[in-house]
Amino acid sequence: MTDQKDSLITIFTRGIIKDNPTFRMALGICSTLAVTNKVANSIAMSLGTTFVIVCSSLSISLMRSFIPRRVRMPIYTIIIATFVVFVDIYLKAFHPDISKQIGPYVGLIITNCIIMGRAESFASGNGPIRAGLDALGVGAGYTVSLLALASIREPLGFGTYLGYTVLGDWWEPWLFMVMPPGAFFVLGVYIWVLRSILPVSDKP
Amino acid sequence: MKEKAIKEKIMMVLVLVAVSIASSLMLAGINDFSYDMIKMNKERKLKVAVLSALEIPLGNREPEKVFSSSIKRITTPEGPIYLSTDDRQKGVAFSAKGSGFWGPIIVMVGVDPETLTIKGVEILQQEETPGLGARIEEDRFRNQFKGKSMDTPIRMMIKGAKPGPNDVEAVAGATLSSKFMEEIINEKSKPFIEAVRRLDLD
Amino acid sequence: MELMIIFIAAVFTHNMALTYFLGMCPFIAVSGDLRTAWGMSMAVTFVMTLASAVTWPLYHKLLVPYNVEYLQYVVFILVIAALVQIVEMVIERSSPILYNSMGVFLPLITVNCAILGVTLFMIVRKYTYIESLIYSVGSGIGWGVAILAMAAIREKLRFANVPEGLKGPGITMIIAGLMAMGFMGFAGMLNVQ
Repeated sequence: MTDQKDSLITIFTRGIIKDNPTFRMALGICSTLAVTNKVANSIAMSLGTTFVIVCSSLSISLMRSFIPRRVRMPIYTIIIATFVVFVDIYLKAFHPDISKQIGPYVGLIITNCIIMGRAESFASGNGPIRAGLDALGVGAGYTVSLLALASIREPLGFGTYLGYTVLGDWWEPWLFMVMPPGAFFVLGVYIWVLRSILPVSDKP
Repeated sequence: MKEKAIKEKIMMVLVLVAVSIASSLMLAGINDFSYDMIKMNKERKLKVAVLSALEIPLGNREPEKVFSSSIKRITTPEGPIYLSTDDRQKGVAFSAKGSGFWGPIIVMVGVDPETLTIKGVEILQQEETPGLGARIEEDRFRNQFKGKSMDTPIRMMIKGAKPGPNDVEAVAGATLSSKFMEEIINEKSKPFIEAVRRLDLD
Repeated sequence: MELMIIFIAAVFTHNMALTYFLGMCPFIAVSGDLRTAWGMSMAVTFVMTLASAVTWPLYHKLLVPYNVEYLQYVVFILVIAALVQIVEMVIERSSPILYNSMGVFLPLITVNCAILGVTLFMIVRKYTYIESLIYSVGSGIGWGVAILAMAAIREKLRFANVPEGLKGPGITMIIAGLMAMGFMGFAGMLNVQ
């Protein structure tokens, strides 16, 4: 359970580094790996996911006293799914190209363990301000990790960043980076580096 | 005790139903609001591909307007064929589908109905390897098809080899994706070419 | 023939875990032990097949005719959640040992994106009912093959001298990368239409 004495700033910042969902807790990896071969897709995905985490945490926190314990999971799922459909419809209407590229992965935000994890372990037991800040922090942490991965994969794999050429003609695109194995390796190395700097105690 | 349990159950069902209804209503509202936009977006890609395969310039005009004023859609047993009604830009376009490396490739091919030469090739859908096979989408590759005849098979050539009149330089490093493109343009387009001949355009 | 291609593609070339990165959380969390991995892959395959068997008619016979396709995510995830509950109850009664070893991970099947992923992909690819069933069985088996291979490798690695920071998720990622490379070798061998 969370320590009630945690200051609001700690609640926000711990999601970014100490409890970074992807690098530290190895959660929500599916989408992390799938969309990070382009920086633009990663930005869209992380904004969408942050939006869903914040909105669902806020609503769950507001409704927490009304939700019967035994059906909390389906209710969280419905709430999360609703916001995911928002994101999906928004992308389809205003950014059809990005929607086409990340396609079904938008829908898979629903099953992103980070969101359910935050709902279950934090939002259901805390007030809206704390829950919102916590969600923002985790969303920011997720964004940071997506960008960190994409910022390595896109330049090395395509020689571009956000679609603009950054590495000149001399750079032979290292296509391996934008394919599935590259995603696994880059994430593995990131986890390694971060755990070497800041060791984690294995939580149950 | 028993009463409490029943009360709890009723509460459970009520909350579930309330949340579901609230969620559906919200989504229905948003969907209504964005329905037309999404529909337009979906159709736009096809329309732009047809226009571009038939070399009809867009300029600053809305693709939808140009499409409705200069394209006629004909349904044939093989599939839809798009016919340019613009006399200066005679042409027919059709979409041919074939296998790719990871998933299907759908290509919009624009053809001159009299000489049966290709006016343009657009990729509607592909899931090829990014950076390798996916480069079939690049202008450099697609523009090579312009002016090639559909009467004789179009062949893929390795970069550097001396190309014949009906040869196209393959995408380097993507032998199979190029081969699949060759098959789609040569084989999968054939029924459509027959359909175009049958239509007897004048 | 079509069905065979769909099946093989789902198992090898379009492997849920190694090509689409789906179901990664359990893939990392449960692959430490071969026995648990086996149970998990059975459960996933089972739920996956049931899920597509139920969601396909729901989508094509209910959502599409009434023009409410946008509800698909909500409907699909609820169906999956309900199915997981049922499977959980069945396993609890029939095999307490299996139930104990899977522990907290069974409810996590709900948030296993591989299952939602299969139902979404089958809609996107416009599969027929039979094709969807074959596809989901194949995907389940493919995911199972990946996690079993991973678990077997990790059992061998148990006494290996892995750098401190790389232990756990780190090394799993690297191994998954190597496995993904292997599975990429299957690409292009099928006529995927």
